Amino acid sequence: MANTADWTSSGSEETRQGGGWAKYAAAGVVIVAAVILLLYTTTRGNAQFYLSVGDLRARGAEMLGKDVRISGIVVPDSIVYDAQTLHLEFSIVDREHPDQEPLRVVMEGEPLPDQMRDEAEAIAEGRLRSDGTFQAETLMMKCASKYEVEVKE
Amino acid sequence: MLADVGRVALVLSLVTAVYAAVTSIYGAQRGVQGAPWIASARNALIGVWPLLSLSTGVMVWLLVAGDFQVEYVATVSSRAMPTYLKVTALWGGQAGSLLFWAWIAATFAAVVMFRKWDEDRALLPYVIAINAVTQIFFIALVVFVETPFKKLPFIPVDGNGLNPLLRHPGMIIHPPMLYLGYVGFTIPYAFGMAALISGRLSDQWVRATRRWALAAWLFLSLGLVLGGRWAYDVLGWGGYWAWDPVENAALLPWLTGTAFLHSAVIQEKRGMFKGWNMALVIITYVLVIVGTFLTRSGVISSVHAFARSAIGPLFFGYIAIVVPFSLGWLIRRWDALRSEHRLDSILSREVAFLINNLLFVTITVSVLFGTLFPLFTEFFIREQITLRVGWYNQVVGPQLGALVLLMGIAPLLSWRRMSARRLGRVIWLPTLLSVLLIGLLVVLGHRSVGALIGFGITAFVGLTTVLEFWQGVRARHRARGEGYLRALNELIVRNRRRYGGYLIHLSIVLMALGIVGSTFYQQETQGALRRGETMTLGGFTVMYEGLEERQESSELLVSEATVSVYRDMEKVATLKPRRDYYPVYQQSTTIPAVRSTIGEDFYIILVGWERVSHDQATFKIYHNPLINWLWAGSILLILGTLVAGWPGRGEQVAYSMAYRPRAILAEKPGSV
Repeated sequence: MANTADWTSSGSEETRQGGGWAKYAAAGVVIVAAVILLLYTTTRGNAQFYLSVGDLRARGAEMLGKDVRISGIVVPDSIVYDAQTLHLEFSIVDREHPDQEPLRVVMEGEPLPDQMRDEAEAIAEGRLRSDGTFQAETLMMKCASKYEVEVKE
Repeated sequence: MLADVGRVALVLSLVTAVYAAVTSIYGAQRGVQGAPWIASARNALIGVWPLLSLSTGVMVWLLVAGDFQVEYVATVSSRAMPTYLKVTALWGGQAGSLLFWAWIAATFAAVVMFRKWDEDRALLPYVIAINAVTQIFFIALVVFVETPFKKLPFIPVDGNGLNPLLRHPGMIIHPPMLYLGYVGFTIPYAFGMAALISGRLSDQWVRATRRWALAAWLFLSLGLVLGGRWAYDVLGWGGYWAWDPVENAALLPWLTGTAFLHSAVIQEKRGMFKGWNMALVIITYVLVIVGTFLTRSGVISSVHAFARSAIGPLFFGYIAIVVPFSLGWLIRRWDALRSEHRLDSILSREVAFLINNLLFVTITVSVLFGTLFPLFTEFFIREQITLRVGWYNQVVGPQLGALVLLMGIAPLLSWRRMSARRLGRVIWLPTLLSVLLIGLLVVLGHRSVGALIGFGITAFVGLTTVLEFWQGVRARHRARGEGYLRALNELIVRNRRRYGGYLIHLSIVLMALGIVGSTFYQQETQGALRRGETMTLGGFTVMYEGLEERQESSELLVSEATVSVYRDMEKVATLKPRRDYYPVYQQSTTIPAVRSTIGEDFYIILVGWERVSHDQATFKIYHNPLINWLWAGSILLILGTLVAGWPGRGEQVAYSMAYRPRAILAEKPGSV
């Protein structure tokens, strides 16, 4: 039996798409164009800056009132929480620059996150207020799932 | 020491995998004389499994026995943990989970080696090589970078133990399911690449891996659902999906994998879409690696944290090799992947599948775009810009809606061509009923456009899918006189792939119902209640009765509130939301209490309480309509997949323990 590698075409004359392939391509282009348009319009309305604490401080004036996402480490002994009014306050510093001035974060209406504690990592979305505090709309704590802590002797 | 045995076995497994990779390629180059080399490579690939099993087994033993001098054990295990949790701690940290990943890869590869290779001998060496290289990468990570058997210079008295958040059945099964799904897609990829490299581009590779792809898909689906369920049960934010980068990482290969499963049908039935299928299987594998990279490298900010490590760049390097390699071969063989037929008409099942592929790809690109957006902006404008969670719903929602709608129309379309008139005849009733349903909802006061469209599409697809079953049953009943129930059974059993598939479609309909209900109609509220006080939400009234604090075990303190739930003046449930506190870890987990029915979930979280007197407590409540259809749908999904993948009567068993290298050696030169 001859060594027939069957990666040559099967020999049928129909192996090319017929002349009508243009309309399928057109339909495909329409779908893709619609999706691109969707992406474009939605992105404009949903973009938010992702800044470090230091960056936000430095650009404070221009960032006032803008929708921003920040992340940082919770400063020890800075957590204040009132379970009745669901008012939460804490300070965060940059993971990379813990010696810089911390930022006070205020959050209303949400239960204290389980992972909220000293030195946990927080991601907050919201706006910088004129009094220098950060008003958070959403607050996410890093899930400690693979957060491997140093083993103590 | 036992840990040393584990490490040695690990290193040996790496050496064996390298041997398998090298000899398989060498054997492939040598043509017929290469047969003994390929046989040796096959044995080596099988041999990786016992070595890795020994290594993994040792690690599990160390975790259970509590050998805290081993750093990994000290990090994730502890004396007080129950034994079953100590076992699951294997995947509780980076190094252990990578070892587990490698072991699963070795298991699947070994099983594939026991296949009857008589018809695919040309593919074998490359299947071995691809699997071996994948294993080499992961085992090398574990041998050189994230070393699970590393010892500490001292012996700690006790380990840290698993984070309390991970001590939940969902968290226990969810990672293994994901890994099984991820690793499972390596097999179709290996076969696809083998077909490309060897030039054997018939659809044999697609047929051979159909059940593997289906199984991988099932595990990945379950992993996704379990992750969502766990988040819902334990994390207390009333939701199940947050479009977090790590969640997206698991979703991306699922999307292209689903597309592949569908598109493969066209290749088998009509010899078309060969290029698509090859591209899809390659992209799925690449997305598996990208997903693993995104999850473990910390390159994108996510709430799922992993300790930072050097493996990020290494994953990136692996991707940088795999992508050009795979695409290179795809381009080289592109001509041979031409369709055997062309599309005959826009109204045809083939075109529906084409649009299906296209939509899955656009959704994949959308999710990838959103996930990587901060990286792009950082690179191009030196500013990290992220996208709010709402972006995903707005972008992906409509595309998913279109996809589900397609799911309802495609089964109605004939192969090759269908007249609009004929389509109209089958489609008018479900369409009419769905439109009537939307009208009814509007009359009842529903105004959300998204919800109305969502319910309309869900109803439409549910109806058309049930119609498929009905028509099949009626045909059997008329033709053979079978009773309806018997006809249904026979219908499914004799066409497992098709009707199993339709069952899965039905499950998606149920899940869509749950998603539409819980997304568009969720309500929430919170407040502080004194004993006997009430608050209302979604037609329910909840009254605070009291709170109890107790020592549940040596490491667990439980604070449990009791609330009564009423509806229309009648008591319907007593719920006990609680807070579990682990003093040793200073970690508390808030466990919601939920009343679940077909119609909705009433979900309550204990937020705070007055010390000592417990006179007052603060709660947050969610009302999630229809959400249980999501979980019910996932159960049907499992059933449907089992039906679709079950070996049928008359199908030849394709696996055998015997492998006959002599048959290869006896081949005359020049024979295929």
